[in-house]
Amino acid sequence: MKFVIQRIGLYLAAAGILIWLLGGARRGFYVISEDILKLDPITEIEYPERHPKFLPGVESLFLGAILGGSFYLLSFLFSKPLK
Amino acid sequence: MKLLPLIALSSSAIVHLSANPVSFDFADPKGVNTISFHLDAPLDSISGNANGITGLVQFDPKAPERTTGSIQIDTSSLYVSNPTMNKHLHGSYWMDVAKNPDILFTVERLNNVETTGNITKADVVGEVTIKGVTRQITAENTTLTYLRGKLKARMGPNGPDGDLLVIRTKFTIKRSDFGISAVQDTDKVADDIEISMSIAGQALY
Repeated sequence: MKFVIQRIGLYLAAAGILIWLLGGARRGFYVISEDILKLDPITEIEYPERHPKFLPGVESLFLGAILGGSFYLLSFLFSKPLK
Repeated sequence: MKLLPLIALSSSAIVHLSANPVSFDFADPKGVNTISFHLDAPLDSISGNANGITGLVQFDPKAPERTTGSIQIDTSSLYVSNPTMNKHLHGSYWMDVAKNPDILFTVERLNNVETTGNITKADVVGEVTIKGVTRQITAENTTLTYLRGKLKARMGPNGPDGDLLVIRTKFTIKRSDFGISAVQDTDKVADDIEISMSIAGQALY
């Protein structure tokens, strides 16, 4: 049982890292929109066009670490008693 | 009868000599006009944009050094991509949008003016007003590009005839000068706010 809970903790921590990496390993917090640069051909002004998009930030790392750590600590409740 | 061409020439010369600055309206119907801001710090960086831009700039292509005018930004149009940060940005510690609906930039004069063709480079001296505080600024190496008769090409075949004026500039202001989140530690959020502006104004014929 202890081993299973530790495994779950490990997977949660790994999932946090994976989500953060797949989201572009951003240094900041999560965002709900992305700016795509467009060019106005006559004035040659480059301007951002906002598009809704969820990109995870460092919260996913923290959440993965907290959940993973919690499960790891929880696993010790299921340790075999010392003889 | 022989006097007619002479009268026409004289009239033209008078018009040329007394050419008035043209007023360019920066409320862009295409929604391209954007002001970007960036705050960098060791622990975090914040970048965002604002697109609620209006204002009038008086520009004379024959005397660009006489350029004056003002640009307003609707404070509620400031945005960052994180919803929590956006809420803070509009809140009372930061921009206090409810009490300060506009940011105002005024152009008082141009220094070190150099014009090549339709492009004028200059140091723009003016004022910026944020949260009721006014400070003088100098936006060095500002570019003003005058696009004569290009409005129709930009707005499409049914668009009006007119000229365009494109202003590109970058300058830095201090967050602490304007009481923007004054209690915030500068290790977490930079005191310098880098502002980048690329905006186009139109003048109808």
